[in-house]
Amino acid sequence: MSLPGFSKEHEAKYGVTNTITIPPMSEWRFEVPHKNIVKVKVTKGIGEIFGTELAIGYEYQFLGVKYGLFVPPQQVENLEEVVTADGDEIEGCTVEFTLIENTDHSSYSSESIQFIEYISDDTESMKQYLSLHFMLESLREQAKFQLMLNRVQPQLGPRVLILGNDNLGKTTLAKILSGYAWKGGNVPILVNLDPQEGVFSMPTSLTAVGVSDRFDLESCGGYGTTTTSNVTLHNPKQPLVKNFGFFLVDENPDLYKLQTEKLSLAVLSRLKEDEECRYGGIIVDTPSSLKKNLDLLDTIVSDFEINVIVVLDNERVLVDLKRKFQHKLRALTIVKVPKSGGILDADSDGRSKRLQQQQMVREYFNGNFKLSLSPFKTEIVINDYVFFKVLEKVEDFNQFLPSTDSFAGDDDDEAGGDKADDKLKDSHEDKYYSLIELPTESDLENCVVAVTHLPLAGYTIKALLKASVLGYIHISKVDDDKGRAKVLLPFPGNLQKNVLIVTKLSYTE
Amino acid sequence: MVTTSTIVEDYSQSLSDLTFNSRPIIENLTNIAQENKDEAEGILEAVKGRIKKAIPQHKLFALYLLDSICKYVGNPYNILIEDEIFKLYTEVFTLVDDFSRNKMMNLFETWKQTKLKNGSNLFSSLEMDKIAKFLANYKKASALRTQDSKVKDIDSQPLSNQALIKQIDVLIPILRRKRKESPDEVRLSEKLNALDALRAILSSQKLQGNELQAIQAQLRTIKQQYNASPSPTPAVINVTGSSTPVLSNNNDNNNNNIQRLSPISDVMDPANELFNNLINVGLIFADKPLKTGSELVYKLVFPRNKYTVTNDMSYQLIAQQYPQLSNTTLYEQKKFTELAKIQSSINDNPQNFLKTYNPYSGKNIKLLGLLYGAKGAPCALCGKRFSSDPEGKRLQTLHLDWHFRLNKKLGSSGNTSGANNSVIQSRNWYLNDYEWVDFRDSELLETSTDTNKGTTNKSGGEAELPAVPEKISYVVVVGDLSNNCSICREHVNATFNDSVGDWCWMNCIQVPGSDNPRKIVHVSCFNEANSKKRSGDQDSPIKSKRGKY
Repeated sequence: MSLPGFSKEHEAKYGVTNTITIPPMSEWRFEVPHKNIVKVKVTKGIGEIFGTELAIGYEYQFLGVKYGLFVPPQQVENLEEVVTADGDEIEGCTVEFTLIENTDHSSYSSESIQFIEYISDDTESMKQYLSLHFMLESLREQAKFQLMLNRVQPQLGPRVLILGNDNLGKTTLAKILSGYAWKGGNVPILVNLDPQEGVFSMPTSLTAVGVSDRFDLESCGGYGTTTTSNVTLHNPKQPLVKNFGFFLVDENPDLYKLQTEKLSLAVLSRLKEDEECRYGGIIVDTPSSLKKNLDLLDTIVSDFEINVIVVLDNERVLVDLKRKFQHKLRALTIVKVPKSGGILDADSDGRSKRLQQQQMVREYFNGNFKLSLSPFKTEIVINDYVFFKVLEKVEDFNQFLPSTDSFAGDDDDEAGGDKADDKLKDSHEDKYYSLIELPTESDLENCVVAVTHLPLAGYTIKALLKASVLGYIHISKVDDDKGRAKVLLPFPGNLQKNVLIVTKLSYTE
Repeated sequence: MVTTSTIVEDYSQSLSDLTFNSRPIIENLTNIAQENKDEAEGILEAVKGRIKKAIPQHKLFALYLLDSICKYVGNPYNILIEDEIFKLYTEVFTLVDDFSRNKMMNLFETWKQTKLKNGSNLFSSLEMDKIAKFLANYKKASALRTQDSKVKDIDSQPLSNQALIKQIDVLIPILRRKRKESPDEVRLSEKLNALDALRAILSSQKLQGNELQAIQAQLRTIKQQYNASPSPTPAVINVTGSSTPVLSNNNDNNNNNIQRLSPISDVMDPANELFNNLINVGLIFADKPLKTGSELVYKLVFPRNKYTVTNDMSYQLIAQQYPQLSNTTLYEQKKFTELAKIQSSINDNPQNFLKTYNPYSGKNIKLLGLLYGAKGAPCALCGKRFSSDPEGKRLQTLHLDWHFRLNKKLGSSGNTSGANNSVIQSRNWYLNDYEWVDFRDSELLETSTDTNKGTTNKSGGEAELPAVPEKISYVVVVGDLSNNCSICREHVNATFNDSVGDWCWMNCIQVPGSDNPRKIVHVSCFNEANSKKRSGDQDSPIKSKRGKY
């Protein structure tokens, strides 16, 4: 009945409304390519997607998503009543869905993925995620009452770090855990350390955000929006954004380490000062490469004062970690949970990830179908600004060559730099960013550029390393002769004179 | 029939077993002594011999036996030994260590207090005075010695499990006796079991300094109570006729004055109190269902490791008082109760908990329900749930108001103009580290009383501007009267506006997101620039859906 991609595919015709009933403790899994839009409406029962419950009777629109709609047991709705086995009553969650074509993006039609949907009762993972949530809730509760016993030093809620391979559902688990934590009345800080994801920000960034409300499942990535100049249908969230600039940690582990450290500082300060967030703790989503780089992991664990590590479906990593953190095991709980049965590894070429990244950029400037945002196109004089670029981890001699485009572009970063080089580099602040002295078309065009909080006047590299991201602009056209560039700002006005960092994220409108 | 010598021989044989403070042995030997009053002399000789011959560490126990026999059996033993009691006492006293000396001083206190069944004193006042004088001399001498180190001793002496065990040992006999007195009292046995188990923890596990201190602090309070008014030990003896000295204490102050007898309730108080404190510090877990009339269930909490022990303690501290805490909502109380049930298995083995815990099973469904039904029915418009307690109701009202405002706002803009020109909405900048640390997420919520929430950051003031109709838009002049539109670069001259009562740049708005009050744009330029941008997206089917919401 539930073979993915086979049984029901023929039913999913454009414009036809299908009605399905999902039995309790089962999951309706669906995958929507970017070329389609699926409208989903829950008409009866409880259905939730990654810890966020759907409203009854509201028509949701999803595109470019892989979601699982989980149905909890019926009894959770009315605890006082004894649920009798009523034969006529079909328990579960009734859902109507309609597939339509996304006529907007013709470029997406080359997508190989088809719309897939099926119901699965293999929800052992959800069971354990729920248990994991209760375990964290218990720690939160303990932290809360620590304050009453020991008024001097408030205890923080659990600091959780999620580890695992690509496509195992780390981000999903992070979403579930923070969604549930919010439901339990806490405000956890969700930290995204995977630069390939954009959590309330662009991909290539590292973010921390207080989860003070539900996620907006319809927005790109399923997180929601940040603050705008006006009210939004869904309460916005307020992230802190650090620039990394690359998609992969390995491209500059030093910069990554530096930025995670700065991020952790802010997050822990927030936790210590903000009573609302304190007990919610931290939930850290990580890139898959982190499990190989145990030293970096060690730093992150210390920086964020992690006390719970959740390993997704990997016994080997679990053992490695237990060995690595043997000295810390008194203060560190390491547990393993299974991956969800709904994981599909269809996205081997990373195409849908890239499509999602493009969509995120779009959503940052223009909003989505629910929330129309007005960005602002203007022209800037390139020489009025200072552009930095993120520096790839390179062999040492390249550092001293002029850091113009071609050299950096040709650098092969797999050489990796040996230990001696690393030590040498440690004394340089310029292993992170390098100044683009004469920015040209090839440096800037189609790039997404991070605007830092650092004003141009009297900036230093040191200050730049500390600065977080104010926002992003997109450079659509560079005129080398006139020295001007057409840029897209998130809102009307002039681009303020702050230091800019060119990221590796490119985008064409 | 057993012959005289056999009894005494057996008796002295048994005495050699008295190498630790064993209540059963002492009780047993006391009973034998009672049954064989005829052999009193022989038995006393044996006991005396034991006291003299035993190594110093064991002398105290033999002395306890003597004490037990005298108190419990009384005549003829107390009379027979009376003449020698001073000699025995002082001999032992000089040979044993400080700890035993303290015990002996306590013992002496009980002698002074104890009355036999016939109302006479245990020993004659003559002998007692001699011992009292002896002790007074000793104290005077040792006072000088201990004075300096005393404070230091109490505070810096590293707390050990041993010390606490000893203190618990004091309480166990009290409870035992109490239980003997009223065997129907179930809780007493429970308490007793709990204390026993606590003792087991202390002797088997290493606890953290602050936990020991917590226990110690409680014990100290009790000690002070002993000092302040009642002298519970003698009272207990008096009532029950029991034998073993129950108050052991290494606090010298304790013996400074003669204490009056106290009612039984006072005696039980410290025990209760300690027990409650043990619950409070989390070593004993008391689970009380919220239903009235339900019994408390006591369970020992075995700390998994140092780290969580601290947490356990706090958690349990509140466990009892929790329902009474005024500032918790009903939902929080429910959550607390449900979570308490799984706490120990989580602390025990988290991995195992994840594997075995079934959130769907009947007894666990309440905990799962905390995410759903316990929070009340979901909002019909967005699925958000609010708990049914007063706080939840309040938030729900605010939430519905918010929906109403929002619909009104979006409805009016969406219907009147297809291009949505009247509402210009753009993304804000992010915060910097300091702002973010100081930022409170409640500002973002619909429940925030500030209606401008979500826009309150550095570019916050812009929220209302786009909503202002074109014809009455103006910016109050700051600085020079002449200015330029940031978009079309056209010159803008200020005019005096009567209704505003100030010089204004008419038909202009301040550039959203800019701190500079002189940075202005024409409203028309602004809208044009935006509609131009948007027109590229007009065809999108998803975009045109917007009016619907």
